[in-house]
Amino acid sequence: MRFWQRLKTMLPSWRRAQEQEMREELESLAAISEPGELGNLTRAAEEARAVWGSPWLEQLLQDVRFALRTMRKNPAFALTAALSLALGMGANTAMFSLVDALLLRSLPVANPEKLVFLGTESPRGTDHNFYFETYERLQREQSFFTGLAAFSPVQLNVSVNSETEPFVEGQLVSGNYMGLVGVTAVIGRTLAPGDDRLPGAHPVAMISYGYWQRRFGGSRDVLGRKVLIDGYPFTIIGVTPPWFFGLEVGRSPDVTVPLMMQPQVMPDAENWLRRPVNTVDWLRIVGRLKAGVTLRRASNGMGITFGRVQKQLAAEIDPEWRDTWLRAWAEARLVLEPGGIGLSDVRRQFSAPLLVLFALVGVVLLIVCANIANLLLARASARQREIAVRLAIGAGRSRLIRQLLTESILLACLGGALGLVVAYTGSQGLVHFLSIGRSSISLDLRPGVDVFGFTALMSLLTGILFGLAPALRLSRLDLTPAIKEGGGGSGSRQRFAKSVVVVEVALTLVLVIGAVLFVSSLRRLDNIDGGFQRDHVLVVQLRPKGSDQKGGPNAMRLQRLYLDLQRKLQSLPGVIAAGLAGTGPTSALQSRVQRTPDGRQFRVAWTQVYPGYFNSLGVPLLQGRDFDRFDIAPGASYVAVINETFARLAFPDENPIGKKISCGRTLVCDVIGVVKDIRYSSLREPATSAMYQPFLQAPTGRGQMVLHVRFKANSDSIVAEVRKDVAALDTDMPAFEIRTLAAEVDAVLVRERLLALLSSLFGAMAVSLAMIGLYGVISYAASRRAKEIALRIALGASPQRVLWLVLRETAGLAGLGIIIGIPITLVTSHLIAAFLYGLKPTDPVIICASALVLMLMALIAGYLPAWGASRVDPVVALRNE
Amino acid sequence: MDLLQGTLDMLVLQTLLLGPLHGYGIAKAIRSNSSEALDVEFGSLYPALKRIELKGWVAAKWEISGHNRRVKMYRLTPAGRKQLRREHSQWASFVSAVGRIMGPVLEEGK
Repeated sequence: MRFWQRLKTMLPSWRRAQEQEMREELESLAAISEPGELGNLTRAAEEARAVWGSPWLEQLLQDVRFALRTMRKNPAFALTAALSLALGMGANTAMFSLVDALLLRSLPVANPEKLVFLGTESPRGTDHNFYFETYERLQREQSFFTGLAAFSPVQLNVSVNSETEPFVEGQLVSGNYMGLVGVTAVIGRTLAPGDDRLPGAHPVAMISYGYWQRRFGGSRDVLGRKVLIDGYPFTIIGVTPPWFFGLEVGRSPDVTVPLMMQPQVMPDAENWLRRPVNTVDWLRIVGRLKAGVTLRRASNGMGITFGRVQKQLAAEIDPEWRDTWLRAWAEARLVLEPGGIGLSDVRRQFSAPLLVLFALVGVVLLIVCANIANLLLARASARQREIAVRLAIGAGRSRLIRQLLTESILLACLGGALGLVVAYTGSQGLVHFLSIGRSSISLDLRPGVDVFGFTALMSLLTGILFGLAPALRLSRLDLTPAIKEGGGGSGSRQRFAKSVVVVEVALTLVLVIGAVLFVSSLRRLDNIDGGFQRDHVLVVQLRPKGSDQKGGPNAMRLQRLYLDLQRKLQSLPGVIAAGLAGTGPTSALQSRVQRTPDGRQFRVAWTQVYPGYFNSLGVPLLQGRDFDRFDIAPGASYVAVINETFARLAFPDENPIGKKISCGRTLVCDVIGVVKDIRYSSLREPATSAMYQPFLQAPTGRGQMVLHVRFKANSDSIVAEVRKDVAALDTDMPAFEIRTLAAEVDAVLVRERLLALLSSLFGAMAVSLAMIGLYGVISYAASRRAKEIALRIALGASPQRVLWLVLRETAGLAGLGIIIGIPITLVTSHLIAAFLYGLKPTDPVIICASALVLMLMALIAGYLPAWGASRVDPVVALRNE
Repeated sequence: MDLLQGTLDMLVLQTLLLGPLHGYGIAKAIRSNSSEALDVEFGSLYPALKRIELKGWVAAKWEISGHNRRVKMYRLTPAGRKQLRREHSQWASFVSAVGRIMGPVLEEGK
């Protein structure tokens, strides 16, 4: 019989209706039959009623009703337990929903398991970016996929009514992308192969459902509407469905344009579509496997195709760079990755720390369970008489265990349901935290079937975990003393409770050591000298329309703007120095191969700067001079400032000032100064060789610069003043953000910060739970020993002695927990070694300090009951006996 | 004669195959169709009827009988028909299996 039908028979209203029906039916039958022919109708009705009953379900409902009644009778207990469970399970659900969104959930497209991402693997790691020409040739020559599509994330400057608007996340896609992925248009049409044939010839765009609603109010006349994308007019041709967020988990592109429009939407970048020298890899490639083709077969086949394509390209490349590129290619191996869960930078960055945190939060839940098991057990002593009576009048043991388990599972479910609320807020907060400073992360965190399923399963298991031991223990009561006194079996109960607390302390120690490791590792990173001053510096990304031409008219215009801005800012009273550079210290520099005139080659990172930049960041000049106003004039002779690492490697025993190095293909410039190293991008790595050039002498790229303003402490109005001056700079410049350099550095360390913050939070939770657990067990133990203690006091023991007596017990339990916890830590801690900086996970100082702190906390927890015991009035205590 | 466990359900379904009947009618039909050999007590029949109704094999409806009385009539549902077919074949194989073991009827005196 179907479950729902069974459930229906449980309803009192259904039963009442059946009862009525049955009575009428039996009466009508009695009327048409011979008197007495039907036999005993009452018995017939009784047996028919039994048909409705399902003993299993009925008992379950009975148990649930009884459990609810028990909870109502002791709401303080139920509330405490449910709230601590809600915290524990909420934290778990929050971590799970992040892990789920980032690592587990399939892309919401048709047959996501057939999608495959292409990448290259080399000693430097896995890379998912390809040159346009590599993509084109792979697409042409492959035979394992229904097609290969390419896409590339891009920030777009979209202007709907010729107004300046904030940047929009967008993507460039090949013409077959929408069809291959399986995206249809909600309104309008999708981008098709015909929209991606000739460079610059297809000014069409699709927008996301969310952007359509936000920016256009979901109006249908958005179709055919002209918008400016980086100043170039595009026509909106369609809207993607609400479930489509692209193929990269963590991003959600709002505007999609064809690859062929790359030069138009990046007017200030190079043309990446056709280049004789391939230097920009910008395309991610996705394929859909043909029916019957396995990943393995495609992998082998594509490896060969890739090798052939690379050889063709090598033959066409500028001979000057051929060796270098061949070397890079020889190392690279094509890899195919199953694409069902999408590609993700966010995943690469955060999956490992999230899994670590997931494990930590699981331990917290274990501790919560241990505490509640002890609470249940303590309450069980109060219920011993009730249960003994029930056993005595014939309740079966298994029935009793089921009843007690129902109670604990119900409690866990209550906690789980509350936990969902905690989880939703928590996971939102976490994503917000992960997004600080850097490009925003958008994850689909709406709780789905998977999250609910996880919580339900967790509730069930948790309920069994903390309910089973007390239930088993209770059902094994020795009846006679229990009924007589209500105090039987307490010796073994105490042993059980104590061992639970010891386990709690051991687990807590693991969490505390983890937290201390993460926090001190973060402190070390924070204290690294990156080579620049990070306090009291404002950072502004300037992105005006620029030019790709070294020294061209557009570059001249930008130079005038930048110099103007620098002058204005430096005249502000609160400003110490203002400087401009192509890339700030928290981002990675571009690098290229440089040579010295004697032919030695070096890989050197480079960026363009304006005079005063080093001063604005507090970077000391070690030798020579900074750029001056003559160096930045058009037509000035070529000069460069290099960092100490480059100076040491290229000119080990010589004075580098006045030496010549190549800067660009054929140009040669003079070294005029040496500055201290700056650790770009990641503080963890030592600096590499770097060189700095004046703006007009280097390829200007998109022409964008990063403004750094060092200001005097306590100048509050500085942000507003800088904002005003920057806004007045150029009407073509989109909205900009002002951040502090310190915040940017924080953003670089967001992983470490996340680990430190959450592990401390979990550690603190664990410590307080363990303290509560210890307190409960010790005060119970003290109350059991009240008579003995009173006797001791009566015989002349001092309060200090009694205090020490009880505290010793606390110290014993905590010490045992710590002794068990240390080996557990030693065994598990290598799992987090990769996240630590300058620390071993088995650092003895940290382990000892954590153990000491935990012991101190334990003694604080044990102090209150000990103090109470030492104040016992022996007369009162002994008279009670 | 006692009935084997579960056989009663099958008999009820089989009886209803010929057309809708009320509870008393089913009892009478079983008796007369078995040439009075099977006298099913109404006290056993009625719970069985309720059970198979809950299982969805028969459906009940109040109707006006030929004697102008309101009675509850039971009819076979498609699910009940399917069930009957299943039980029929089970029954047949059961009978033939028992038959093979028992062999022909023993004659007295041999």
